[in-house]
Amino acid sequence: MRTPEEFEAFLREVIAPRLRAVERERAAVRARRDAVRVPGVWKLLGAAAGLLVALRTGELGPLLVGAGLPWIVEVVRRSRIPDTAAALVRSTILEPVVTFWDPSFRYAPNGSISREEFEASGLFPGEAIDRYAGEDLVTGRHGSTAFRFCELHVKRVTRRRNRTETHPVFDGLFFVADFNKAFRSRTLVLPDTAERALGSVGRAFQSLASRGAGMELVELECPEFERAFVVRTTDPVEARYLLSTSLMQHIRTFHENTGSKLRIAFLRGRIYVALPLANDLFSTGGAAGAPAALAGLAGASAPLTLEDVRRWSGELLFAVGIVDELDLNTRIWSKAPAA
Amino acid sequence: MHSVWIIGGAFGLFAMWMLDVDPRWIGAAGVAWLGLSFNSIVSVKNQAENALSSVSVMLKKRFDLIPGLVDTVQRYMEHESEVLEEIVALRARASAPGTAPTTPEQAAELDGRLARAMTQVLATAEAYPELKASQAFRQLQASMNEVEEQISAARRTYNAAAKAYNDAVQMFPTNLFAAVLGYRPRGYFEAPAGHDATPDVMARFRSHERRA
Repeated sequence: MRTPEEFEAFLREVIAPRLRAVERERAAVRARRDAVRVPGVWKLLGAAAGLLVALRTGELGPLLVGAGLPWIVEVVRRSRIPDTAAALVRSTILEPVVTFWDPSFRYAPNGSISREEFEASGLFPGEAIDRYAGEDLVTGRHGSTAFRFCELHVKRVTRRRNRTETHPVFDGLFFVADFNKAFRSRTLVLPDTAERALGSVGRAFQSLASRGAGMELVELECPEFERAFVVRTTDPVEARYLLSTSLMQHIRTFHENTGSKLRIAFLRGRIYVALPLANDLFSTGGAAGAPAALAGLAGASAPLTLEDVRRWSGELLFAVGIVDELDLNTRIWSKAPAA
Repeated sequence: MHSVWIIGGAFGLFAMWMLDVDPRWIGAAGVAWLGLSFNSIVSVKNQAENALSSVSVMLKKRFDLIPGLVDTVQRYMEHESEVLEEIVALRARASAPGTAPTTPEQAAELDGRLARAMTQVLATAEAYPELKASQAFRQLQASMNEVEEQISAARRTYNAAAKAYNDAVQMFPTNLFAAVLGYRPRGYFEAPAGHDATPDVMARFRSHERRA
């Protein structure tokens, strides 16, 4: 792995010139979008025409159409102009930053871990998934451990009468890695809310819920771990084989350091980690955490700086560092590292 | 955990009586409660026995590694025949019908002696570079690490099941059923007394060197 000093030199020599090119491209995109604005006079005429028809007919509809149509046309015309600046950021800045830290790393801006794999992990039991979107897929190998991670936005939709409501299921980092022990069962480590709220009664309900899902509740020996997490498994012996006292300690430390509702699954020889994030991965700070692409559509945004690139690098290293946080590179058992 | 449901059921019966529910319904609920309570203590007993059998399965996996360990090591460690003979003897004792352990305490004692002997061999192997470098030994070492952790996991599972069983045997109201059925508390897997000291492997190695 490279050093921070090498990274700073990389920023100065490679990235800084490309940031200037990105800003030139952003200005060009803004100019192209400004050129297709509907002039204000047409917006006024449209609103006036709509108002006249509305007064004659007594209906509100014509006013909404007359006032809204010029804006809709403008938005459609602007959205047809691709945000080439965002694509340039990803190809000329983000991708080189990813491969700088390790040439084996690969970045796919529109890539994602599949919905089937996300659902199969079982990390959100009982949640219906109606909308699934992922991006910023990074794959590679850190030490002996093959990993993948991406950003996911998973939502559930409910319909009441004529209203459609969207509820977030998961927004954050979804990380998958080859685990360092061979196993065949499924084990889930989920945030514990029932036992913390209701004590042994909550635990009794957790046990029932686990059985309903075809799994067993596992009581582990570490009280702090038990307070933070509830563990369900299809094989209690294998669950304890996976969740050694050492790994429980690593998970606890990682959970305390991130301060988030961490979820972990062990399945098919892999470990799945779902880590909620407050902001998007690899976002620009100028548009309040919106991805670079949306920042362009939202209007003028602050220029990209080397600080943004340092932050992206930090996010990348944090995600890759999950391998070290959970000590996945300790390979003293018989399982060979995955290719 | 079972006691939560049993005590909850008892309160439910009491509530039915206080609310003047038809006695036939109270009777039916009472019979159901008795049946569930009885079944719960039988269930935790079976879970403890199932967990104990998992420990035996894992210990057998360790025993199965011993021939490979002896074959791999004895060509290099000519002066360690004493500890290798001890390992073979312990394995034979564990397998023979008359001497095999029948209680958790006996299994723990045998398990402890065998684990220490095998650890001694691995530690002593550090002094034999050719052995350490051999692929067969590295694979064996990985397998042994795996088996040791699986044994530890099986023991932890048994201890959790034994605790649940002991809670049911000793806590009200399931202790009443336990007394009727003749159930007694079970022991846990612990390191046997007097076997906690780490053996001085290098002193043993040096004594063999002097004899050579």
